[in-house]
Amino acid sequence: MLKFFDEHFEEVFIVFLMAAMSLLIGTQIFMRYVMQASLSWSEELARYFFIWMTYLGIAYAVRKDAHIRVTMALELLPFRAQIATRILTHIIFAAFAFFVMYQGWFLVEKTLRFGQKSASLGIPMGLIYLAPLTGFGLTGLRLVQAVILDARLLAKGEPA
Amino acid sequence: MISLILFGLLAVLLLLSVPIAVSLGIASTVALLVSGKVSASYVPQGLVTSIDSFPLMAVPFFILAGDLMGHGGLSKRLVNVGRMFFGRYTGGLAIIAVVTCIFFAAISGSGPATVAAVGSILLPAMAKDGYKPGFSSGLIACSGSLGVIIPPSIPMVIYATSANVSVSKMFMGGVIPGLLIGFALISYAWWQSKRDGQVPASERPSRAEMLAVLNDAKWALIVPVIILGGIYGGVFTPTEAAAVGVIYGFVIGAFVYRELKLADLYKVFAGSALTTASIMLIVGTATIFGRALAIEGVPVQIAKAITSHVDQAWLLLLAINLLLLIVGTFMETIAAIIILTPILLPLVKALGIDAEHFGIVMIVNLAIGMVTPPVGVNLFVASRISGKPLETVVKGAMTPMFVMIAVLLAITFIPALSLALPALFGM
Repeated sequence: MLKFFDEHFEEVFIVFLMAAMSLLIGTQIFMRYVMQASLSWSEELARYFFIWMTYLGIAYAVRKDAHIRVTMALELLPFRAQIATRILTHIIFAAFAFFVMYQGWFLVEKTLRFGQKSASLGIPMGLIYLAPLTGFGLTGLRLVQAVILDARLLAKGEPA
Repeated sequence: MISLILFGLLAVLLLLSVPIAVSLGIASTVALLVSGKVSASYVPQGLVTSIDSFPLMAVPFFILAGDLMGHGGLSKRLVNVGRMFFGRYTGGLAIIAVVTCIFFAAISGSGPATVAAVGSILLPAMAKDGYKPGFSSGLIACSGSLGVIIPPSIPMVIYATSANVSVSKMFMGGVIPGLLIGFALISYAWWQSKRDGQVPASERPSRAEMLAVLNDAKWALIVPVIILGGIYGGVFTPTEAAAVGVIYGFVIGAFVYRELKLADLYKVFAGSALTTASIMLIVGTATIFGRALAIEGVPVQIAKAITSHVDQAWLLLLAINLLLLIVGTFMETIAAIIILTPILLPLVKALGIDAEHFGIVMIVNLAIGMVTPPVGVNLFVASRISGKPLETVVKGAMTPMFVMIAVLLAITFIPALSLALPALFGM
């Protein structure tokens, strides 16, 4: 159960959001050409799904080690130094994630307080700005996990 | 001082192998905080506003459409079409590899995705026929970069958003340059195979066989007609066209070719979302980085430095090519576009160079950057798929890369190659 959550938690959401985005835009075209009725809200909603998918995906990309990095210099180091450097990069990434969360919190609080709403659906913009806050929060957790995994690897010693 | 923080910190973080997106984010955040000219909440806000764009949504859709079509059996059928036409010539498989990349590039907007789709089918076949591993993997790594030159193209979507030009016009502008590079690579493939003493892959097919292959591949062959025809016929926007590509790829893969199973479908969606997220974070942080540069007036300084030495269009273009080729070797494509476009575009415009022409030159340069170490995504993918060490692929990609540079010079100095086709369509 825990393993399933670990491997698939963000995945379920981003797959859903990706599919929903495609269907929304597909429906938008269908309505315009076949039903002769343009939708005013589909594009906006799809855009917000896109933003949420991106920021949840960033946490998932930490789990899958899919963030693009330049490892050329790293590979010159011996194995243990490589892992130690990786742990350092996780901590640096976490510091950035924490900064975005912290500042994001004020931003969400402010936009919700001012009651700023989206143009066609009237969604509170605070909910959109919640995406980087949530995404980087999860990213922080994923980074803690990555540090633990790499620290175990370091404790184990030489590569298999 | 601020520029030193921006570039110095960026360099250190990249060297430590901190993810590119995060390096850009941290360097620009620290610079912004030190300069004190922008409030700190600009960072989370910029991360949202920079990707809150409908044109930009073409990126996830084109990634997903390409992935669906690659897994849904479309690329396999494109290979069969190539085999039918070129299998009987010397170096048949090598030529087929380039031709299939050209076809697949018209479906996919990504370089590494094209290498993966075509390479996973043709690299094993070429190894069996005795092609040298360096030659075949290097050739496919280079041909894969056609994925971003022949429309649709993800980097072109990013450029069009940064430069504020039409995505459709950029796409149309990429057709002739892409085909030229394709033909140049085909000639190279033929010449090199002949030197290596390769024999034709297959007999000349019969008329009935040809019709059968074409019939089987028809659903794949009409994809460019639907996507590009839809955009240029004014039926839908590039983003909508990309979403149509997703739905089409799903229907054909799942119900017509029946190669896309439900479990694959979930994996394809998750994989595309993952690629999208890592690209979009780069878009977000690179935008903030660009903003930090602009606040410090770096673009203006660079522009002044360049224009005081260079006042002729051809010299400037040559200098920019050199700069972009160098940047392309170590910088990730999307980040390079977002950061460099606002710096270079005003310069070239002042000397009367079209934004679209410049865009094509930039994309081709960065496409070449995909096959140059240390950061050459196509090389990594080709090495992973062929199972050969990176050095082998790098060596094999050397000659075709110079072929691409030769065509790049033609594209740089003959604007009509990029501009004639859009003009013909009245854009």
